[in-house]
Amino acid sequence: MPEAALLSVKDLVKVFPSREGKELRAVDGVSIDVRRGSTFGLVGESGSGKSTLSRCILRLLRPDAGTVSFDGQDMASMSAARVRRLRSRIQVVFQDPHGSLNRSKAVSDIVGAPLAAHRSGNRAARSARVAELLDLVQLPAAMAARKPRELSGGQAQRVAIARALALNPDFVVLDEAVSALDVSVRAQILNLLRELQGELGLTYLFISHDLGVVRYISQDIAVMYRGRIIEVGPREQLFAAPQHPYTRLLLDAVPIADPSRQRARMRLLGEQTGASDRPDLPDDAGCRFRSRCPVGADRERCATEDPRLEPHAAGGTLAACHYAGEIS
Amino acid sequence: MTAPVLDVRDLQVAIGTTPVVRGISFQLAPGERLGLVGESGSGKSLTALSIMGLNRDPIRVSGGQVMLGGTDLLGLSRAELDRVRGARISMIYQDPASSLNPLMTVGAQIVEAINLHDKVERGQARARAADLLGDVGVPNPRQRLDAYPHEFSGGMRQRVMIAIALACQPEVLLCDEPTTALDVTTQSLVINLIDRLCSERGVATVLITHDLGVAAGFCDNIAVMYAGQLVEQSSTGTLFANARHPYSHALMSATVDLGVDVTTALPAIAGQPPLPGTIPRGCSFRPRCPRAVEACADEPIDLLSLDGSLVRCIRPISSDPGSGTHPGTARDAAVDTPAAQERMPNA
Repeated sequence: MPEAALLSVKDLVKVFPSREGKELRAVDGVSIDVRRGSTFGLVGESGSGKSTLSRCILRLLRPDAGTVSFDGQDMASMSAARVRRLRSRIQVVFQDPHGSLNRSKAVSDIVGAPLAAHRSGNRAARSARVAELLDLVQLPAAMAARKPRELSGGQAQRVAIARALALNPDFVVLDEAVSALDVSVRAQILNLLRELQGELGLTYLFISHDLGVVRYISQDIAVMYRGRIIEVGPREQLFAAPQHPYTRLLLDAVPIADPSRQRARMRLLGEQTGASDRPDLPDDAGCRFRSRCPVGADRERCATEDPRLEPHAAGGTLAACHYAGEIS
Repeated sequence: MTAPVLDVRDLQVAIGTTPVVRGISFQLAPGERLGLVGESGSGKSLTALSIMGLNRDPIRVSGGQVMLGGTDLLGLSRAELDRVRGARISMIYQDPASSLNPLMTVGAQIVEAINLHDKVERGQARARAADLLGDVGVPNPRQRLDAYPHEFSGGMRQRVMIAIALACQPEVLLCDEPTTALDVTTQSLVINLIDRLCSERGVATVLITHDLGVAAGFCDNIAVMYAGQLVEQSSTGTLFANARHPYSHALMSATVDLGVDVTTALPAIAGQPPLPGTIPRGCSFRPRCPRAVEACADEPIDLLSLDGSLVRCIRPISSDPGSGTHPGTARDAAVDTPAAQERMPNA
């Protein structure tokens, strides 16, 4: 584990039973290192396993294999009491701001709930801390008495962030935390998250299907595809010179707000084989992307040998592709 | 201009007594693609549902006309409307999973759409359904006719919806966030498909979306909605090169695409859109607008013609040929600086 990593995931596997007695390897041997004080972005489409990975990190799911170490310690081998203490240092904000807030409680109770659960201070101290937290997420003090249904989406997400920060965590998992928000509000919340990171020295795991948002907020980025990380590296390298054909495809598919360029991209994409909603091939010995791959669809090696995540000469990322770099 | 296929005139929609769509007018030429762009609550989906006559209590149309050819759809009886919907105007929705009947095969659902308007014999309807399924890019269409919606992926289900919507060769297709529920690589395929089919068949399209990038690649013209009104309508090229309404400009600047500067704060729009029933006097965007002056509060602002665009603003952003073609190069004057919004807590 690198010196600077606050969270380190090693060879994590999570298997779910699926129909006909088959197994779905939702997370299939994933390793990531999240550097202290940085944002690690995890992108992928639906079914890529990114949310399962985050639930394993949060211990909402028990991984079938592999380790999750926080601040140098393997969480699986810790005593229950220790895990409980550690939980205050790891927090999460989910996608649906209204769905994740208790509708019958006032904002002050929602934000104060973690303080009460961890028996932090007396009533007066907790109430002062709630006021401080609302100020931190730039909500007026008067919001404390409101119920969730009286809040807009952006306000509700600020409340969810305030609650996540109540116990002074080091590490916050942001699982599609801005995906349900409108454009104008999304930009506000992204700005807030960056300000809070600077002020409080937070480390983020930022999970999203939106590449533009991930690029904006993350220093390191991993791309997931069917349970695996297929490319990982620093933001600049990943976006400037993607090595894996799937990363290239994702970048090409993001609509851009420029009519002539966007029309050209749409035409181009229509001709690409990888942009497919055809069912994938079953897991076998080969590369799991090959049925959609414009590079390796017909190559012998791609059908017989599962590519490992490794560095390639052409770029600054690690990519799981035998012919990395050929596409860009 | 040739006669429009769809002419929406001063459409007004209310929830109970609260106005939510406050006088929308637009015309759609044959084969045209119009984008209706706005954030949630702007009234864009209610506009489409009202055009189709699909509103349910307490939402109702409180004024205006929806002219399809020479007929006002708002004046039709339920039975008359049923003859028009699906035949001359049809709609696809955001969530294909909940718009398809899970208990019917997709073939039966396409045949049903054909039979509602064209009386054709069974085998012929089935053959046409298979052709349609093939046209929308479903592999092995003949076999897939007998499959149920759950046996299709999200992208494939949306293709089935498109096949149903186009089954009777409508003149107008309304698409309400057709790709929002889909993955990004699938989204581009489905937009490409709608693009191709509507061109081939000469179908005029209204695309409702919150995604400016999707609208940029598909639409000839774009209407921007805010708080139940159109605030700007213009050709796609003009709008993206030089948005004149401060809201349109701010919306483009706040979009986080692959070109944003990662080293600085995003040019967010302070505050939040007004709730129905609490819309401010004068310009609805005024409380959030960095260009607002006192006169903006005086009286309702009209949609005025400005260099070929329609703009609802008395202090529009100037026409600036040097501002470049990408909003990324023009993130400037109309947008609040982060410092200015720092304690603007109401979003």
